[in-house]
Amino acid sequence: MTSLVEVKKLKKYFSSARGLLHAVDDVSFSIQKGKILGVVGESGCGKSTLGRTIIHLHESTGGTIQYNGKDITNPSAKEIRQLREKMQIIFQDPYSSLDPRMTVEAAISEPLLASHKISARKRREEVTRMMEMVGIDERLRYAYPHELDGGRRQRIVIARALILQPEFVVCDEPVSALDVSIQAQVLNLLRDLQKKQNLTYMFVTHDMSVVRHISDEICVMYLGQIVEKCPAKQLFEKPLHPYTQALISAIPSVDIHPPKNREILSGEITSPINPKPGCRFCARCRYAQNQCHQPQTLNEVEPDHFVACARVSDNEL
Amino acid sequence: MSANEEMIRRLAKDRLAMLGLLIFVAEIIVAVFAPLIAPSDPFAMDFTSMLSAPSSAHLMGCDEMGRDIFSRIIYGTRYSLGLGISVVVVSTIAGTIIGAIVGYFGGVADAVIMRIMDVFQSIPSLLQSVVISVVLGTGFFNTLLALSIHRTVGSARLLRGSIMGMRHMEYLEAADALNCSKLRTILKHVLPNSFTPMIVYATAGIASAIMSASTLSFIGLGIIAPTPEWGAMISSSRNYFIEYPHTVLFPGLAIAITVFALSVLGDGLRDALDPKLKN
Amino acid sequence: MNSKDQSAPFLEVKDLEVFYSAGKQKVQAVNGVSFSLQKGRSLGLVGETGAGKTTIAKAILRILPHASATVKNGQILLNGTNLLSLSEERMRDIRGNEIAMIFQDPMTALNPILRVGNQITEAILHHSSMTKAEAEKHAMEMLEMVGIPAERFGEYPHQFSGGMKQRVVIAIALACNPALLLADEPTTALDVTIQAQVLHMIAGLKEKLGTSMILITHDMGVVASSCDDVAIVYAGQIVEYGTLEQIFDHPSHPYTRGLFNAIPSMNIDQEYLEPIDGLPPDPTHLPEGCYFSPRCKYAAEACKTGNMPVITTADGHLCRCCQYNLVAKDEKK
Repeated sequence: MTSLVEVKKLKKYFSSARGLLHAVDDVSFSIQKGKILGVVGESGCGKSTLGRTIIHLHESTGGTIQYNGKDITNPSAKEIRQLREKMQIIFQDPYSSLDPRMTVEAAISEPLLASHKISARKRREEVTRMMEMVGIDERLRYAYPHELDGGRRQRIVIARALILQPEFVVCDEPVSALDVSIQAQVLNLLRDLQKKQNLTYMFVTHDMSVVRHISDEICVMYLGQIVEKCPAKQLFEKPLHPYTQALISAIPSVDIHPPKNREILSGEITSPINPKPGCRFCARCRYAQNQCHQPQTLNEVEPDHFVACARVSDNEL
Repeated sequence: MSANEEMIRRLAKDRLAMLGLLIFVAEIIVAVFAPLIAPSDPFAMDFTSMLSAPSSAHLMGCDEMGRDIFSRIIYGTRYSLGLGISVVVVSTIAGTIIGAIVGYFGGVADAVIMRIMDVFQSIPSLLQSVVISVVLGTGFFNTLLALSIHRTVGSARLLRGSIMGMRHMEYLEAADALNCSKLRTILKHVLPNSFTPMIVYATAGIASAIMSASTLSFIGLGIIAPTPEWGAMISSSRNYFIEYPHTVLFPGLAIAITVFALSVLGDGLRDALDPKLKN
Repeated sequence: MNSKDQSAPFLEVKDLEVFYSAGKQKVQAVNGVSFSLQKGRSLGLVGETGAGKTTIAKAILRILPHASATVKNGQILLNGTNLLSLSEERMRDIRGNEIAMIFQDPMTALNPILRVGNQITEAILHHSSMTKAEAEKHAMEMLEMVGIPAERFGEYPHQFSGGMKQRVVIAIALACNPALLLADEPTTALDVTIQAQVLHMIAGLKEKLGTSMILITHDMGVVASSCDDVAIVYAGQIVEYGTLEQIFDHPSHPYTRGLFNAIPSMNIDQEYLEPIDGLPPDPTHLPEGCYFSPRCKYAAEACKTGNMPVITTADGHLCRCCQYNLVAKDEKK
């Protein structure tokens, strides 16, 4: 198996008034072709920035990005245009990611108009094909986004991202803005498209049950860094990093028997601006000790199970 | 129904705005067909009827040179309205280009251009136009230039603000991800979604440009007699105003009616474009 | 409010109907909602966007927009007094003193240019006869109670994280020890670990102060962790009502079932989820018969006409569905 996307020591810093914001800090992982990598974490952990940096909506600060074995860390403008046909993104908020003045047809065909010279007839056919594929009724072809509900809008966003037939799609919280019953419809659609077209997803979300459902492998991020990475099921059966444990414990479960004994974290999230070198979770971690103030590395503590925690690596927890 | 159709429907319900639109359209027709409508040559002097009062021969009477005021007002639409519209067209185009660039790209270009704009905007508009007119001289094109600069700055600022307010919208980031070029993004996504305040500003701008042009003409700058620009007409007859008020009254009324029409149309447009503002 | 009778419901909402009008269009936001709440208990109002949950809460507090909303019918009895018939002046007394509300977005609920301590103090002064010094002392106690060190009394909202802001909002709401707390998606804007902290805190405070609560949420998990009773709201109606155990162990309405099934499971691997087909109805054109029938796989002819009656399936367990027997036969996922 070859990896389709491979990032090594990827960094993305933003300069802010109070210093450098380490949005993504030394992140390394790879995604196999046809697989779904879930990236989960809380707001501000850098998961969205990570996805956007990989597809060059942001320029990386350091590290390398490889696509299909080819280095794409610093592409030329022309290379970016070529890459965008292979790498796409589905945004979180279908209310703001659609131009309010474009009809369904215009929105879906926008990528074709932007990069291809194809006939108007061919373009209409393509739009019809995509609308069918994502389940948008033909009669809505000339509707405007404000006339549609969130689920339909997100289907349009998906159609628009997939019309150029990309191989790799960053799904940035694609169902977070949707109600539960609609969320399930869209998740099924994404899964279906992924299978039929052998797509590779990087699925960014804050929702633990969604990430468990959709992913093959999961990275847990905390303040710009990956703290744990392993196959999806294993993460929930045997979470090793104290943060992952707290995160899983905090999920409001619908299972009321027995009433869940939650681990309640205390302490506040540390600032991602000019962070100290040690483990970024240690201010909230009940296991924190001296060695936690040293830089942490992601170690393979079990086959395919990587954890960035000195205490776990030292077999102390 | 698209946002535009809804806007037009709301505008059509606004009676005052419709009246304004009616007057404006009528004036444009008058300007285009002036030679067919005007009963006599606006420049022809008839010394026998100097300062004559309105009569069946001269509907609005004659000025101090014996020229038919009615015909001059008819022809005047070409100058006053033409100048007003030209100023708005020129300044809107220039303002859109500048505003879109600084608003969308931001950064150093924004900082530099906006400081230059600040300098222009710190000078009162009339003073600015007067100075430019004095330097360039009178005439249609010089007046056009003198009046356009201030408005260009105004519209560039307006558009910039409007664009900055939407710069965080995800669909602009989406356009980037979908391979839209910068030009396409600006033309297809940024401008259509930020342009509405410009329409209101432009409509009301015709009125204020007509006022400014008349003011310049009145003080002997801008367009001067014998050209039948309304402000110039008032200016050349001002000495006879007390005894022969009709010489000033009719061009004054022409200005007032036009400005009124465009102002109510502008207000109507603003309400129609943003229905939240009205309530 | 000096009713000492604990068995009579503390809050009772009867046949509440609320309409919104936009131009010529009339929207039925709440269509005959009835429920009751005992003292000290918490009720979860669960439903999707636009189901009318927030409208119910705003109707109780009488803060619906006058221009567009009309309460057409119904009674809201707080300790036996109908809030809908009270004068505005009397209602102002009740707001804050007896009923307080927490909104979803803590940022909009706090004044950005006032120190957080002062905002709590002001709320206390507004609703009590304390002196300024007493109120400030009480405000500091409230901060400590919601887990914020009293030293932060003098800081501004922007110096607080999202979770802390929501705690300040809760401190303000609870400062006057209201008998009823209306919490509208209080943790939706928060991260899951922070949400756990806040829910834990609300539960603790509720127990300590004996406050009754109506928790509005779309998240079944949140309900499971903080409510005693549950009402499932669909298209402005309560379609199922019961205790937490009744609703979670024996969901009887097809919509409730659908909601549970649509949530990705934490224990079972599923290739595909089981969504509810279709979309929630357009509130300007509600379907004939049961509002859920167009999306319901159990729908029979009887579901498509007339008003769907409420059926009592067990003690206190109400369900607005005539097919509940069929639903009960299907295994819950």
